[in-house]
Parts: sequence; structure tokens; C-alpha cells
Amino acid sequence: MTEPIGFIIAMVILTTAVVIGLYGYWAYANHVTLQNYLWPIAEVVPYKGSYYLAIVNTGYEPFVVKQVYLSGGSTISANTKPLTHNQWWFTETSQLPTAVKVCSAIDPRVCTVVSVHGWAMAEVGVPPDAILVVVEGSNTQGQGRLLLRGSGNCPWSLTWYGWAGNSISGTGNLTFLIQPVYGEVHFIPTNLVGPSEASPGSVVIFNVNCPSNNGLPPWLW
Amino acid sequence: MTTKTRARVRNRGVSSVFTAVVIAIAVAVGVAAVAITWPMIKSNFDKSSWAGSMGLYKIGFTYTKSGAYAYAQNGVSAPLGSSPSPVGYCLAYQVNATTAIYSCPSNQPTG
Repeated sequence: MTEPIGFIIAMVILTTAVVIGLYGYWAYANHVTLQNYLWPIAEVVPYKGSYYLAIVNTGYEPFVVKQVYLSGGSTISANTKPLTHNQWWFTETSQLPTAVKVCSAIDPRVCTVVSVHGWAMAEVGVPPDAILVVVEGSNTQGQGRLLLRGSGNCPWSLTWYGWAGNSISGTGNLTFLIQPVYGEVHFIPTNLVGPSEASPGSVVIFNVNCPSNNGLPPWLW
Repeated sequence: MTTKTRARVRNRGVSSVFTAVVIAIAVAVGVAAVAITWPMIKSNFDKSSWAGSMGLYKIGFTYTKSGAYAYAQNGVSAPLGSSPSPVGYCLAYQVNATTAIYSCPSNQPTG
């Protein structure tokens, strides 16, 4: 009589242990799986004296942004709306952000901390069959300071000939392409200071030279 | 059959049932462990693959007749503005006629 009871007790203990063990493993596996599918990307660029931070959900598991870690050691708490696939969240910080903590919108206990990607500068390329013409009111080559007071009202014009020919006029800043062009182009500027010719694939910068400044020293403008 | 012999036969029966149940539980545990583990393993592979693709995510900038454009991957492009805005999974803006500032998933971390 005692043997069947002992057997049943042993089975119950064994089954309970197995079920508890499996449940624990299942909970752990679920946690890791969900964490592995949190795919945030955090990026920062400097902007107007502060830092512009952006976070995007590149995955399909929704998450909320919980915290932003700054270079000074401080943190900013955030509790955003859930970000779904390809949704962005932006903020500006006074200190450089270094990392961001996001938590699953489905299970808030599942979180991950990701680094913030920094910035770089790049040249805006000019097509090989074009010349980029930049007419500027502000200085880019160290000589514009002499040129600019009142340039917004200073009419200028630019004529070009050679591989391509045309003319354009204006009163302020302007950026445009001469395209297509496969050889040298020569310029005839009016109220502009800049190069007299350019090759395809290059950038030429003209500074507005307002005639009202002619003959006056800069401190009298 | 003596009482001793009868007890021995019954013991043998009980241990056979015990062994069968233990084997059944072991098989069930094995199947469950595989079923639980597989999604976790797959998620690890998926995460590695995602991290790899993000590590190569880049952006380029060029002028067109309609102005400066940013070109991200997968055919994503957008005009470059004077304030930061997303282009694909990058953040970019134009600081002057010939220069852009950008941050992409392939950029180095700040921390």
C-alpha cells in the first residue's frame, strides 16, 4: 500500500520540479528573445549650440524611450509614447548624449541600453557633368567681409559662356547648377567677386560686391 | 507463490511504470526545451544580422537641378534641409552650400 503512494508522491514532486524549471526557462527565453528584437538606433548631431538627438525604431517590437545618458554623467528621464516600426522621437540636449535606454512597450521589464551614434561632415557632391554656382552674401573665403553690407538689396548678375551659356540675376543668396556641361565655362560677373572660369564637377563661389560700398572703408559701411 | 515473491513482482511493476513515466517526462522536457530555445536562438541570429546591416548603413549627398539631396540606402532619398531631419535611418542637414552634417547607424558612438 505504501509503495504506490510513494510512487505517486515521487511523480508529483518530479513533475512539479520539471514544470517550475521549464516555466523559469521559458520566462528567461522570452525575456532574451524580446530584448533581442528591440532595435533602436540613436543618433546625434550638433545644432544651434545644442545637441539634436533622434531615436528611431528600426524593428517591429514597439518600445518607449526611458532615459537619455549624458556625457557629464547626468541622465534625462523620458517616457515617450510607444514607437512602432520606423517611428522617430527627437529631443534637444545641452550636453552630449552618449546612450539611451529603451524598454519594450509590451513588457516594460525588458529594456536595452544602446550607444548614441555621433556625427560627421560630408561634402555635398557635384555631378561630374555639372558646375555648382554659389552666390553668397556671407563670407566663405575670407574676403566676404569686405563685400556684404546691404547685399540683400544689391542686384547682381552672372553670365556664362563656353560649353554652356546663359545668364541669371538676383539680389540675394542663390545656389544653382549649370548642367549638363562637359568642358570649361567662363563667367562674366556683375557685382560679384569670384573665379572667371570653372571645370565640370567643381564648385564656384561668388560673393556679392555691393556697389554702394565702393570707395568706402569697411568701418564706414 | 509466497508473500515475498509476490512483493518482488509488484516492486518490479512499480519501477517499470516509474521508468516509463521518467522517460516520458524527459522526452517532453526535451521537446519543450527545443521549442522554447529555438526562438531565442533565432532572435540572436536576427539581432546579429540587423547589427551587421546597420553597421554598413551609409548616406551620400549630391546636388540635383532641384537642390541638394541626401541618398540613404534602399533607394531612400530626401532634400537636404537647414535643420536636422531623418533620411532613411540617418539624420542629416546642410550647414552651407557645400557641406552637410549627418549621423548614421554606421557612425562611431559618442560615448
